[in-house]
This record gives sequence, C-alpha cells and structure tokens, in this order.
Amino acid sequence: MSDRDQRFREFFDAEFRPLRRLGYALTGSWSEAEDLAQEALVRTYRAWSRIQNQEHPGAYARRVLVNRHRSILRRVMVERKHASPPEDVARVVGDDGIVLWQALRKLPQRQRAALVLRYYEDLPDDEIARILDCPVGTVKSLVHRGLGRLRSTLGSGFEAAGGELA
Amino acid sequence: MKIEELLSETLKRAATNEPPVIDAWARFERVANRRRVVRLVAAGLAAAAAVAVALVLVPELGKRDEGFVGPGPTESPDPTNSWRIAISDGDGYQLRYPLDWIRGEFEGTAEFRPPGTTSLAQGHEATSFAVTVRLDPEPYDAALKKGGLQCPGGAGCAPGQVLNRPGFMNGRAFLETHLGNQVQSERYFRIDWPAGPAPSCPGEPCPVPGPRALEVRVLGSSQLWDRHRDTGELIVRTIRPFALSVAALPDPSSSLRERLLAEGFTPLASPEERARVLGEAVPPGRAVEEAWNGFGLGATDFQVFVGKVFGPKGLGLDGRIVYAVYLTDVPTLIGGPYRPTPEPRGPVLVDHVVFVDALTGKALFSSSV
Repeated sequence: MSDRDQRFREFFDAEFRPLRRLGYALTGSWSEAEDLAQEALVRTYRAWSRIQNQEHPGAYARRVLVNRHRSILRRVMVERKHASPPEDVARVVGDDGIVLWQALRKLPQRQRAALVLRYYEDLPDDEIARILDCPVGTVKSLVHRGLGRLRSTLGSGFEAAGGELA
Repeated sequence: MKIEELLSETLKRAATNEPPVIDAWARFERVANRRRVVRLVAAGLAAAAAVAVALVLVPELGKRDEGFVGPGPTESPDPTNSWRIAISDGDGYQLRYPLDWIRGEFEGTAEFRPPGTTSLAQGHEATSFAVTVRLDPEPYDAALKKGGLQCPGGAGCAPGQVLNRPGFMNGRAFLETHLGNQVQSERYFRIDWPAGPAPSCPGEPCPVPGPRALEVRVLGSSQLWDRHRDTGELIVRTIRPFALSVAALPDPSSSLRERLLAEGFTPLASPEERARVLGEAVPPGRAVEEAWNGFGLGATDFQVFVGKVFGPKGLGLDGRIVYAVYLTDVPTLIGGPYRPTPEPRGPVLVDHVVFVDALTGKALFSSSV
C-alpha cells in the first residue's frame, strides 16, 4: 500500500463511524447512513491527493455527505416525507423524542443539516458554514429558522414540558 | 428544557443504537475499484470511438475535391487531443501538455516539464527540461524596433537563428530563435498576443493595456534535448488564446465533461441546464425576490448563489452583484474558495452571471443577463 493510501486508510478508520452517525442523524436509517458514508469516502478518496494536507479533511468528507444527502433527498422527497420512523429510534429516544425526530425530518434539507451539525456534531458556526458552503450569517439564519419551525410544529407546550424524554 | 437541548439529546441518544461496522473497508475498496474501472473503460471507449471516427473520416476526406490542399498531413489523429488542458485566464492562453508532464510555476512563469526532470526554479541543471510560458508586457514588435530580439536568457545570450513564419499559431506572426551550446539548448518563441484582460496589480505600477507578446521557451540540458524537444514543440503548437467566453471551452455536455472533471475543473453548465436554472430563478434583468448568499434555489443539479464581489481578475465585476451557478454533486467544488462578502438584503438586481471553477476560484466565463 502506498504512503498516500496508507494515510487515507487511517483517515477512513477514524472517520467512517462519525460519518455514518452523521448520515444517520440526517436520514434516520443506518443502511442509508452507511451508503452516504461510503459515498462520501469514495469521493474524498478521489480528491485525497489534493485535500490530505488540508487542516480538516474530515470537513471535506462531511460536506460531500451533506451534499449527497441533499441530492438523494430531492429524488425521493415524496416517499421520505411520509415514511414512518424506524423502530430502533423509538426504542432509544422515547415517545417525545420520536415526535421531535419526526419534526426534524420534515424540515428543509439545509435547515435540517444545519441543526444536525450544530446540535449533534456540536460544530461551531464557521465550521458549519464551511461544510454547507455558505456564510456564517446564513448558518445562523438556517438554525434560527429551523428551530422556529420545530417550535411551531411541536407547539409551545412541548418545550415548556421539557420534552420529557424517556 | 429548551428545544435546542432536547434536539441535541434526542440526536445523540438515537445514535447510540449504532450497529457494528462490518466490512466497511472491503466495501469501500470494491466501490472505489469499480469506479476506477468504469472511468478507464469510458476513456477506452472514447478513444476507440475517436479512432473509429478517424478511420471513417480520413478516407472520406481523400475523396473530396482536391482543389483545397490542407496545411499539413491528416493521416493520424492529433496526439495532443488526449493531453491535459492548462488554462491561464490571467494571461489569456490555453495549451495542452502530456498527461505525465508536471505543471508548475516560478516567478510568474508557467512551467511544464517531463517526469524525472528538475524545475528551472532550481537553476539550469543537467536534469532540466521544460516548456515555459509568460506574458511579456512589452508588445511583440518592441524587440524588433530595438534592432533585434531581447534574448530571454539576459545579457550575454546570443540571438541565435531568427525565423519568421507568418501563418503559424492561429495566423499570428512569431519569431523563433535557436540557442544552442554544449550545455543547453533552447527554442524561443515570441508570439504577437492580443491585449489580455485588464491587469490587476495592486500596490505597483500597472503596464498600459494593449498588445503584448507571449514568450514561450522550450529549453533543457543538451542530454535531454533530443528526447523531449519534439514533445516540447508540440506543446507550443497547442497554444491558443483563451478568452472568458462560452466559446472558449468545449461544450460541457459533450464527452469532454468527464475529462474536465478529471482535470479538476468544475464543468460548465450545459446550455440546457443553464437555461433551466436561469429561467426558473432569475429572468434576465429582473430582481431576485429573496437573495441570500448561499441560498440554494433548489434546481436539481445546481447551487445558486447571489452575492457581491467575485474578484476574478479582469472581469471588472468588483462591487457588482453577481450571480453564480455551480454544478453541484461534483467533488472538486467542495472546499472551493468562494466566500462572498456581506449578504445583500432585499431584492437584488442581477446583472452578471459568473461561472466559476470552484477549485481555483477562477471565472470560466461570465455574461450579462
């Protein structure tokens, strides 16, 4: 294995699971998350010689993943909007969590991606801006609008009751 | 509990149910190898198709009216067709160079050299060979008016043999010298070049816009000269002006699209794609109702951005509102340097469309809408 491939293999081992979990937070499906992570890493590999020395090659892979998710979502938007939440999600997040999960699924893709990157990956705004390829101001706007729509969907009582996650 | 905290907790809990990773690397290798094979097969099929077309066309050409005699032989396809494309939008030229040659730059001069050779940036060595290109701010005939060529090597360099071949290089006159000694050899081309884009030279005096000369040198050590000289001169003969216009690049909807991708260029939108996005998003001369930097307008394969200032040299777009259409789903655009400055508020009149190579940040073409 060449030195270049060896370094990519190390990157793959370190990033595959985090990428798959990010894909899961976006799609709610582990199999789709696996596909997204694989696709992101295949495309990252193609660009590896160019990006391997960048400060955050992982950000590149996340950006590919988020873009790929958006492309897929457009093609299957109708089916996905009405899909039931997977049972394994209900088991670990409880009834209130599943309501929130479903509300998140109904957000526009970029708002959803911004919320997932902020509240699941705990990324700062500038890092999210790099991944979504937009200014920081747009990230703030996406998060603000996303949270607003969640509140509007769930109603004021949900937040006041603390969600009462199981 | 606030909704932000609920969201964070829900997402993190959901991910705790993660299944084990099974054969992820093996699957990755299968997919990556399959795609590599597909690319190779596609390239092979394209080459076979080109050969087939040539085999059909060459005999047909022979049957035509012989009143017209072409400038050169037509028996074999141009080998440079399969070479890489290098574009300098700053100096306004494009050329082709072999796939295994290395592209570099030193002191404002582009350099193309074969594998295994050393860059001229390290000085002239026994292992040096390169084709170099630079735009000279002096016009083509300035040297002639002074009574001879300005030798590219500086003082003490013999002028060599001067040849004048009008009709070469897109009809532009050129001068060629052959400098040779026991250590190194050189072919020097000075090409009458059209006025390039307005130069961008912050903090230093700008040359007066006008006709220039493109200086192209094929040079190398005497040991390497015979091996690489022919290829070097072939490179010189592929030099063409490059203007920021749609016609400057091949139709991206053609088979060259894949090759542009392989070269690291973001392909242009095809005319149909462009019409689809522009038609839906911004009628020519009309205001955009909602203009956000980075606001995706949602066409299938595009990211549409509206913002101020793009900064590609020479386009004169600074401070104007520009409208950029990227093809998405293209790995090369990820990590691109496009970072528009402050968000426009409210309706924005779009007066330019700029297609940008997301890898280099350079404009591929622009047009008024």
